[in-house]
Amino acid sequence: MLEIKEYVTPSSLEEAYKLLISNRNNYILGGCAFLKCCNMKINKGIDLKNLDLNYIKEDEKYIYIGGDTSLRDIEISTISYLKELGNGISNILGVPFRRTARIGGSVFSKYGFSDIIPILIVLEAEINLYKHGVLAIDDFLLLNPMKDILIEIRIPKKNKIYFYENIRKSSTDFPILCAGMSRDENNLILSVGARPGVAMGFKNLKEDILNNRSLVDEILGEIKFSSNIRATKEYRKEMCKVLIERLIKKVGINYDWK
Amino acid sequence: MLVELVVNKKIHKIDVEPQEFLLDSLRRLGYLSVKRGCETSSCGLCNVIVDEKPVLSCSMLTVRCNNTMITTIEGIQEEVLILGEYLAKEGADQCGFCSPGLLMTVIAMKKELKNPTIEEIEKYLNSTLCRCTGYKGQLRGIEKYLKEVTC
Repeated sequence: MLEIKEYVTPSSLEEAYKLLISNRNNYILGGCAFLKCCNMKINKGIDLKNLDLNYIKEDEKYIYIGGDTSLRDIEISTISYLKELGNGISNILGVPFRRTARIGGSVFSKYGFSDIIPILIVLEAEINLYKHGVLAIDDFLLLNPMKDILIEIRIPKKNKIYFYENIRKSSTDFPILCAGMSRDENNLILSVGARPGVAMGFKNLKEDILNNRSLVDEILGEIKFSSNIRATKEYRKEMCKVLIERLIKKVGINYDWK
Repeated sequence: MLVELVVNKKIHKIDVEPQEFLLDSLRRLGYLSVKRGCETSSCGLCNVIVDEKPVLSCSMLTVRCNNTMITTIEGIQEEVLILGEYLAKEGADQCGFCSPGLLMTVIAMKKELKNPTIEEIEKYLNSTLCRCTGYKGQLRGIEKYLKEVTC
Protein backbone atom coordinates (compact mmCIF):
# COMPACT_ATOMS: atom_id res chain seq x y z
CA MET A 1 0.00 0.00 0.00
CA LEU A 2 1.23 3.48 -0.85
CA GLU A 3 1.36 6.13 1.83
CA ILE A 4 2.47 9.71 1.29
CA LYS A 5 2.78 11.88 4.37
CA GLU A 6 3.18 15.17 2.54
CA TYR A 7 2.90 16.33 -1.06
CA VAL A 8 5.19 19.19 -2.08
CA THR A 9 5.68 21.16 -5.29
CA PRO A 10 9.06 22.93 -5.11
CA SER A 11 9.61 25.99 -7.25
CA SER A 12 13.29 25.39 -8.05
CA LEU A 13 15.60 22.44 -8.66
CA GLU A 14 17.73 23.47 -5.68
CA GLU A 15 14.68 23.40 -3.40
CA ALA A 16 13.60 20.05 -4.86
CA TYR A 17 17.07 18.56 -4.30
CA LYS A 18 17.28 19.86 -0.74
CA LEU A 19 13.90 18.32 0.00
CA LEU A 20 14.96 15.07 -1.63
CA ILE A 21 18.10 14.60 0.44
CA SER A 22 16.63 15.85 3.71
CA ASN A 23 15.03 12.49 4.46
CA ARG A 24 15.75 9.02 3.06
CA ASN A 25 12.01 8.48 2.59
CA ASN A 26 11.54 11.55 0.41
CA TYR A 27 11.05 10.72 -3.26
CA ILE A 28 10.52 12.42 -6.60
CA LEU A 29 7.06 11.35 -7.72
CA GLY A 30 7.49 11.03 -11.50
CA GLY A 31 4.28 9.86 -13.11
CA CYS A 32 3.28 7.67 -10.13
CA ALA A 33 2.12 4.97 -12.51
CA PHE A 34 4.20 2.24 -10.87
CA LEU A 35 4.54 3.86 -7.47
CA LYS A 36 0.98 2.89 -6.65
CA CYS A 37 1.81 -0.80 -7.12
CA CYS A 38 4.51 -0.55 -4.46
CA ASN A 39 4.27 -1.03 -0.75
CA MET A 40 5.92 2.26 0.22
CA LYS A 41 5.78 4.82 2.95
CA ILE A 42 6.87 8.15 1.50
CA ASN A 43 7.61 11.02 3.83
CA LYS A 44 7.54 13.79 1.22
CA GLY A 45 6.34 13.15 -2.31
CA ILE A 46 8.08 15.74 -4.48
CA ASP A 47 6.23 16.77 -7.63
CA LEU A 48 8.35 18.57 -10.25
CA LYS A 49 5.37 19.98 -12.12
CA ASN A 50 6.26 23.63 -11.38
CA LEU A 51 9.82 23.34 -12.71
CA ASP A 52 9.06 23.54 -16.43
CA LEU A 53 10.69 20.20 -17.17
CA ASN A 54 7.99 19.22 -19.63
CA TYR A 55 9.55 19.93 -23.02
CA ILE A 56 11.06 18.50 -26.17
CA LYS A 57 13.34 20.91 -27.95
CA GLU A 58 16.30 20.73 -30.27
CA ASP A 59 19.31 22.64 -31.52
CA GLU A 60 21.92 21.71 -34.09
CA LYS A 61 23.61 19.11 -31.89
CA TYR A 62 21.02 17.68 -29.54
CA ILE A 63 17.39 16.89 -28.89
CA TYR A 64 16.52 17.74 -25.28
CA ILE A 65 13.70 15.94 -23.47
CA GLY A 66 12.74 17.32 -20.05
CA GLY A 67 12.47 14.83 -17.20
CA ASP A 68 8.81 15.66 -16.57
CA THR A 69 7.79 15.05 -20.19
CA SER A 70 5.06 12.47 -20.65
CA LEU A 71 5.78 9.37 -22.71
CA ARG A 72 2.85 10.27 -24.94
CA ASP A 73 4.38 13.65 -25.80
CA ILE A 74 7.56 11.89 -26.96
CA GLU A 75 5.55 9.34 -28.91
CA ILE A 76 3.70 12.00 -30.91
CA SER A 77 6.69 14.34 -31.30
CA THR A 78 7.11 15.57 -34.86
CA ILE A 79 10.93 15.37 -34.65
CA SER A 80 11.68 12.67 -37.20
CA TYR A 81 14.79 11.40 -35.36
CA LEU A 82 12.53 10.42 -32.44
CA LYS A 83 10.18 8.34 -34.59
CA GLU A 84 11.57 4.91 -33.66
CA LEU A 85 11.84 5.96 -30.01
CA GLY A 86 8.14 6.87 -30.25
CA ASN A 87 7.39 3.49 -31.81
CA GLY A 88 9.14 1.76 -28.92
CA ILE A 89 7.26 3.84 -26.38
CA SER A 90 3.94 3.06 -28.06
CA ASN A 91 4.31 -0.54 -26.84
CA ILE A 92 3.87 0.60 -23.24
CA LEU A 93 0.29 -0.05 -22.14
CA GLY A 94 -2.27 2.44 -23.49
CA VAL A 95 -2.43 6.12 -24.36
CA PRO A 96 -3.91 7.17 -20.97
CA PHE A 97 -1.03 5.43 -19.20
CA ARG A 98 1.60 7.01 -21.44
CA ARG A 99 -0.05 10.38 -20.86
CA THR A 100 0.58 9.98 -17.12
CA ALA A 101 4.00 8.28 -17.12
CA ARG A 102 7.06 10.54 -17.24
CA ILE A 103 10.33 9.84 -19.05
CA GLY A 104 12.33 10.93 -15.99
CA GLY A 105 10.63 8.39 -13.73
CA SER A 106 11.00 5.67 -16.31
CA VAL A 107 14.70 6.22 -16.98
CA PHE A 108 15.88 7.19 -13.49
CA SER A 109 14.29 4.07 -12.00
CA LYS A 110 16.31 1.89 -14.42
CA TYR A 111 13.48 -0.57 -14.78
CA GLY A 112 14.69 -3.85 -16.24
CA PHE A 113 11.53 -4.12 -18.31
CA SER A 114 12.01 -0.66 -19.79
CA ASP A 115 11.28 -0.31 -23.51
CA ILE A 116 12.94 3.10 -23.45
CA ILE A 117 16.41 2.47 -22.01
CA PRO A 118 17.57 0.05 -24.77
CA ILE A 119 16.66 2.68 -27.36
CA LEU A 120 18.43 5.46 -25.46
CA ILE A 121 21.55 3.27 -25.30
CA VAL A 122 21.76 2.86 -29.07
CA LEU A 123 21.04 6.57 -29.47
CA GLU A 124 24.03 7.25 -27.16
CA ALA A 125 21.85 9.48 -25.02
CA GLU A 126 23.20 11.56 -22.17
CA ILE A 127 21.46 11.95 -18.84
CA ASN A 128 21.57 15.35 -17.18
CA LEU A 129 21.30 14.95 -13.43
CA TYR A 130 21.10 17.84 -10.99
CA LYS A 131 23.94 16.68 -8.73
CA HIS A 132 25.95 14.24 -10.86
CA GLY A 133 25.91 16.42 -13.99
CA VAL A 134 25.75 15.09 -17.53
CA LEU A 135 26.54 11.38 -17.87
CA ALA A 136 26.58 9.03 -20.82
CA ILE A 137 23.68 6.65 -20.39
CA ASP A 138 26.06 3.68 -20.07
CA ASP A 139 27.77 5.36 -17.10
CA PHE A 140 24.45 6.37 -15.59
CA LEU A 141 23.20 2.79 -15.70
CA LEU A 142 26.28 1.62 -13.78
CA LEU A 143 25.65 4.00 -10.87
CA ASN A 144 24.25 2.60 -7.65
CA PRO A 145 20.80 3.82 -6.55
CA MET A 146 21.15 7.42 -5.44
CA LYS A 147 19.29 10.58 -4.59
CA ASP A 148 19.32 12.90 -7.57
CA ILE A 149 16.98 14.59 -10.01
CA LEU A 150 16.86 13.76 -13.70
CA ILE A 151 16.62 17.15 -15.35
CA GLU A 152 16.68 16.12 -18.99
CA ILE A 153 17.75 13.53 -21.51
CA ARG A 154 19.99 14.71 -24.32
CA ILE A 155 19.97 12.80 -27.56
CA PRO A 156 22.90 13.67 -29.81
CA LYS A 157 21.86 14.19 -33.42
CA LYS A 158 23.94 11.78 -35.43
CA ASN A 159 23.76 10.54 -38.94
CA LYS A 160 22.61 7.11 -37.86
CA ILE A 161 19.73 4.72 -38.27
CA TYR A 162 18.32 2.85 -35.30
CA PHE A 163 15.66 0.25 -34.69
CA TYR A 164 13.91 -1.43 -31.81
CA GLU A 165 12.50 -4.94 -31.49
CA ASN A 166 10.73 -6.70 -28.64
CA ILE A 167 8.86 -9.84 -27.68
CA ARG A 168 5.78 -9.70 -25.45
CA LYS A 169 3.12 -12.22 -24.54
CA SER A 170 0.43 -9.69 -25.36
CA SER A 171 0.63 -6.25 -26.85
CA THR A 172 0.28 -4.37 -23.58
CA ASP A 173 2.33 -6.66 -21.34
CA PHE A 174 5.87 -6.03 -20.17
CA PRO A 175 8.46 -7.19 -22.72
CA ILE A 176 9.94 -10.64 -22.26
CA LEU A 177 12.95 -9.37 -24.12
CA CYS A 178 13.78 -6.24 -26.07
CA ALA A 179 16.70 -5.01 -28.12
CA GLY A 180 17.85 -2.01 -30.08
CA MET A 181 20.50 -1.51 -32.75
CA SER A 182 21.95 1.58 -34.34
CA ARG A 183 24.39 2.02 -37.17
CA ASP A 184 26.34 4.94 -38.48
CA GLU A 185 29.39 5.23 -40.66
CA ASN A 186 31.79 4.11 -37.94
CA ASN A 187 29.80 2.44 -35.25
CA LEU A 188 27.34 -0.39 -34.70
CA ILE A 189 25.66 -0.50 -31.29
CA LEU A 190 23.45 -3.22 -29.83
CA SER A 191 21.43 -3.09 -26.63
CA VAL A 192 19.48 -5.87 -24.97
CA GLY A 193 16.89 -5.20 -22.28
CA ALA A 194 14.38 -7.15 -20.15
CA ARG A 195 17.05 -9.84 -19.67
CA PRO A 196 15.19 -9.33 -17.20
CA GLY A 197 17.82 -7.03 -15.70
CA VAL A 198 18.44 -3.48 -16.83
CA ALA A 199 19.52 -3.15 -20.46
CA MET A 200 23.13 -3.80 -21.52
CA GLY A 201 24.84 -2.02 -24.38
CA PHE A 202 27.53 -3.27 -26.76
CA LYS A 203 29.39 -0.57 -28.62
CA ASN A 204 31.76 -0.75 -31.54
CA LEU A 205 30.45 -4.05 -32.83
CA LYS A 206 32.27 -5.28 -35.89
CA GLU A 207 30.50 -4.52 -39.13
CA ASP A 208 31.21 -8.16 -39.97
CA ILE A 209 28.28 -9.11 -37.78
CA LEU A 210 26.03 -8.04 -40.62
CA ASN A 211 27.33 -10.91 -42.73
CA ASN A 212 28.85 -13.29 -40.20
CA ARG A 213 26.25 -14.75 -37.85
CA SER A 214 28.81 -16.65 -35.75
CA LEU A 215 29.70 -13.27 -34.26
CA VAL A 216 26.15 -13.13 -32.86
CA ASP A 217 26.92 -16.18 -30.73
CA GLU A 218 30.00 -14.41 -29.37
CA ILE A 219 27.85 -11.48 -28.25
CA LEU A 220 25.20 -13.77 -26.79
CA GLY A 221 27.91 -15.29 -24.61
CA GLU A 222 28.52 -11.89 -23.07
CA ILE A 223 24.89 -11.17 -22.22
CA LYS A 224 23.63 -12.22 -18.82
CA PHE A 225 20.11 -13.66 -19.06
CA SER A 226 18.00 -14.80 -16.14
CA SER A 227 14.64 -16.46 -15.57
CA ASN A 228 11.57 -14.86 -14.08
CA ILE A 229 7.81 -15.28 -14.16
CA ARG A 230 7.67 -14.25 -17.83
CA ALA A 231 10.33 -16.44 -19.40
CA THR A 232 13.27 -18.70 -18.72
CA LYS A 233 16.89 -17.78 -19.20
CA GLU A 234 17.19 -20.33 -22.04
CA TYR A 235 14.13 -18.99 -23.85
CA ARG A 236 15.42 -15.43 -23.63
CA LYS A 237 18.76 -16.47 -25.06
CA GLU A 238 17.15 -18.21 -28.04
CA MET A 239 14.79 -15.31 -28.65
CA CYS A 240 17.65 -12.85 -28.42
CA LYS A 241 19.15 -14.45 -31.53
CA VAL A 242 15.86 -13.78 -33.31
CA LEU A 243 15.74 -10.14 -32.24
CA ILE A 244 19.37 -9.55 -33.25
CA GLU A 245 18.68 -11.21 -36.60
CA ARG A 246 15.73 -8.90 -37.19
CA LEU A 247 17.76 -5.85 -36.22
CA ILE A 248 20.67 -6.87 -38.42
CA LYS A 249 18.30 -7.15 -41.36
CA LYS A 250 16.99 -3.66 -40.64
CA VAL A 251 20.34 -1.93 -40.23
CA GLY A 252 22.04 -4.08 -42.84
CA ILE A 253 20.39 -2.35 -45.74
CA ASN A 254 22.49 -0.26 -48.06
CA TYR A 255 22.38 3.19 -46.60
CA ASP A 256 23.85 6.37 -47.94
CA TRP A 257 25.65 7.98 -45.02
CA LYS A 258 26.46 11.12 -46.88
CA MET B 1 -4.91 18.65 1.82
CA LEU B 2 -7.62 20.86 0.43
CA VAL B 3 -7.82 20.66 -3.36
CA GLU B 4 -10.10 22.26 -5.89
CA LEU B 5 -11.33 19.93 -8.60
CA VAL B 6 -13.27 21.21 -11.57
CA VAL B 7 -15.33 18.20 -12.64
CA ASN B 8 -17.65 18.63 -15.60
CA LYS B 9 -17.39 22.41 -15.10
CA LYS B 10 -18.52 22.12 -11.49
CA ILE B 11 -16.11 23.19 -8.76
CA HIS B 12 -15.56 20.85 -5.81
CA LYS B 13 -13.39 21.66 -2.82
CA ILE B 14 -12.44 18.46 -1.08
CA ASP B 15 -10.01 17.34 1.57
CA VAL B 16 -7.80 14.49 0.37
CA GLU B 17 -4.87 12.48 1.64
CA PRO B 18 -1.73 13.00 -0.52
CA GLN B 19 -1.83 9.36 -1.64
CA GLU B 20 -5.49 9.45 -2.70
CA PHE B 21 -6.02 8.69 -6.35
CA LEU B 22 -8.43 10.54 -8.60
CA LEU B 23 -10.56 7.43 -9.05
CA ASP B 24 -11.40 7.40 -5.34
CA SER B 25 -12.01 11.14 -5.17
CA LEU B 26 -14.34 11.13 -8.17
CA ARG B 27 -16.37 8.22 -6.87
CA ARG B 28 -16.49 9.91 -3.46
CA LEU B 29 -17.94 12.96 -5.18
CA GLY B 30 -20.62 10.83 -6.79
CA TYR B 31 -19.18 10.38 -10.28
CA LEU B 32 -19.94 6.69 -10.32
CA SER B 33 -19.43 6.26 -14.06
CA VAL B 34 -15.74 6.08 -13.21
CA LYS B 35 -15.24 2.38 -12.60
CA ARG B 36 -12.69 0.59 -10.46
CA GLY B 37 -11.06 -2.17 -12.49
CA CYS B 38 -7.57 -3.61 -12.24
CA GLU B 39 -6.00 -0.71 -10.32
CA THR B 40 -2.67 -1.61 -11.92
CA SER B 41 -2.94 0.78 -14.89
CA SER B 42 -3.75 -2.09 -17.24
CA CYS B 43 -7.46 -2.15 -18.08
CA GLY B 44 -8.55 1.41 -18.86
CA LEU B 45 -11.88 1.14 -17.04
CA CYS B 46 -11.19 4.24 -14.98
CA ASN B 47 -10.24 6.51 -17.90
CA VAL B 48 -11.30 10.13 -17.57
CA ILE B 49 -10.25 13.25 -19.43
CA VAL B 50 -8.01 15.72 -17.60
CA ASP B 51 -7.27 18.96 -19.43
CA GLU B 52 -8.50 17.38 -22.66
CA LYS B 53 -6.18 14.39 -22.40
CA PRO B 54 -7.18 10.85 -21.40
CA VAL B 55 -5.64 9.62 -18.15
CA LEU B 56 -6.06 6.64 -15.88
CA SER B 57 -7.76 7.97 -12.78
CA CYS B 58 -6.44 4.99 -10.79
CA SER B 59 -2.87 6.22 -11.43
CA MET B 60 -3.30 9.96 -11.02
CA LEU B 61 -2.90 11.49 -7.59
CA THR B 62 -5.83 13.77 -6.81
CA VAL B 63 -3.50 16.46 -5.47
CA ARG B 64 -1.95 16.69 -8.94
CA CYS B 65 -5.36 17.54 -10.39
CA ASN B 66 -5.72 20.70 -8.35
CA ASN B 67 -7.24 23.32 -10.67
CA THR B 68 -7.42 21.05 -13.70
CA MET B 69 -10.51 20.47 -15.85
CA ILE B 70 -11.78 16.93 -15.38
CA THR B 71 -14.41 15.38 -17.61
CA THR B 72 -16.36 12.22 -16.87
CA ILE B 73 -19.25 10.69 -18.78
CA GLU B 74 -21.71 12.55 -16.57
CA GLY B 75 -20.48 15.77 -18.18
CA ILE B 76 -20.81 14.77 -21.83
CA GLN B 77 -24.07 12.86 -21.89
CA GLU B 78 -25.20 13.99 -25.35
CA GLU B 79 -21.91 13.14 -27.04
CA VAL B 80 -21.76 9.78 -25.36
CA LEU B 81 -25.34 8.90 -26.33
CA ILE B 82 -24.45 9.44 -29.99
CA LEU B 83 -21.36 7.25 -29.69
CA GLY B 84 -23.41 4.64 -27.82
CA GLU B 85 -25.86 4.46 -30.73
CA TYR B 86 -23.04 3.74 -33.16
CA LEU B 87 -21.85 0.91 -30.92
CA ALA B 88 -25.36 -0.50 -30.51
CA LYS B 89 -25.95 -0.48 -34.26
CA GLU B 90 -22.88 -2.68 -34.73
CA GLY B 91 -24.04 -5.11 -32.06
CA ALA B 92 -21.21 -4.21 -29.73
CA ASP B 93 -23.15 -5.44 -26.71
CA GLN B 94 -21.36 -5.25 -23.43
CA CYS B 95 -22.22 -5.78 -19.81
CA GLY B 96 -21.50 -2.09 -19.52
CA PHE B 97 -18.85 -2.14 -16.83
CA CYS B 98 -16.00 -1.16 -19.13
CA SER B 99 -18.10 1.11 -21.36
CA PRO B 100 -17.32 4.38 -19.54
CA GLY B 101 -13.57 3.86 -19.92
CA LEU B 102 -13.89 2.93 -23.59
CA LEU B 103 -16.21 5.83 -24.38
CA MET B 104 -13.99 8.40 -22.68
CA THR B 105 -10.96 7.11 -24.60
CA VAL B 106 -12.82 7.33 -27.91
CA ILE B 107 -13.98 10.87 -27.15
CA ALA B 108 -10.37 11.83 -26.37
CA MET B 109 -9.14 10.11 -29.53
CA LYS B 110 -11.64 12.04 -31.63
CA LYS B 111 -10.11 15.28 -30.37
CA GLU B 112 -6.50 14.13 -30.79
CA LEU B 113 -6.43 12.20 -34.07
CA LYS B 114 -7.67 13.48 -37.40
CA ASN B 115 -9.11 10.81 -39.71
CA PRO B 116 -7.37 7.90 -37.95
CA THR B 117 -6.87 4.61 -39.77
CA ILE B 118 -8.21 1.42 -38.24
CA GLU B 119 -4.64 0.57 -37.15
CA GLU B 120 -4.32 3.94 -35.40
CA ILE B 121 -7.69 3.40 -33.70
CA GLU B 122 -6.64 -0.04 -32.50
CA LYS B 123 -3.34 1.30 -31.21
CA TYR B 124 -5.03 4.18 -29.39
CA LEU B 125 -7.45 1.77 -27.73
CA ASN B 126 -4.71 -0.61 -26.65
CA SER B 127 -5.09 -1.37 -22.96
CA THR B 128 -8.76 -0.41 -22.93
CA LEU B 129 -10.04 -3.85 -22.14
CA CYS B 130 -13.44 -5.53 -22.53
CA ARG B 131 -13.92 -9.04 -21.24
CA CYS B 132 -17.35 -9.61 -22.83
CA THR B 133 -16.79 -9.03 -26.52
CA GLY B 134 -14.20 -9.61 -29.18
CA TYR B 135 -13.77 -5.90 -29.93
CA LYS B 136 -14.74 -6.22 -33.61
CA GLY B 137 -18.24 -4.77 -33.20
CA GLN B 138 -16.87 -1.91 -31.14
CA LEU B 139 -14.18 -1.18 -33.70
CA ARG B 140 -16.74 -1.03 -36.52
CA GLY B 141 -18.92 1.31 -34.49
CA ILE B 142 -16.02 3.53 -33.45
CA GLU B 143 -14.65 3.71 -37.00
CA LYS B 144 -18.04 4.84 -38.32
CA TYR B 145 -18.52 7.28 -35.46
CA LEU B 146 -15.14 8.92 -36.09
CA LYS B 147 -15.85 9.18 -39.81
CA GLU B 148 -19.39 10.50 -39.56
CA VAL B 149 -19.47 12.65 -36.46
CA THR B 150 -17.35 15.71 -37.01
CA CYS B 151 -17.74 17.91 -33.96
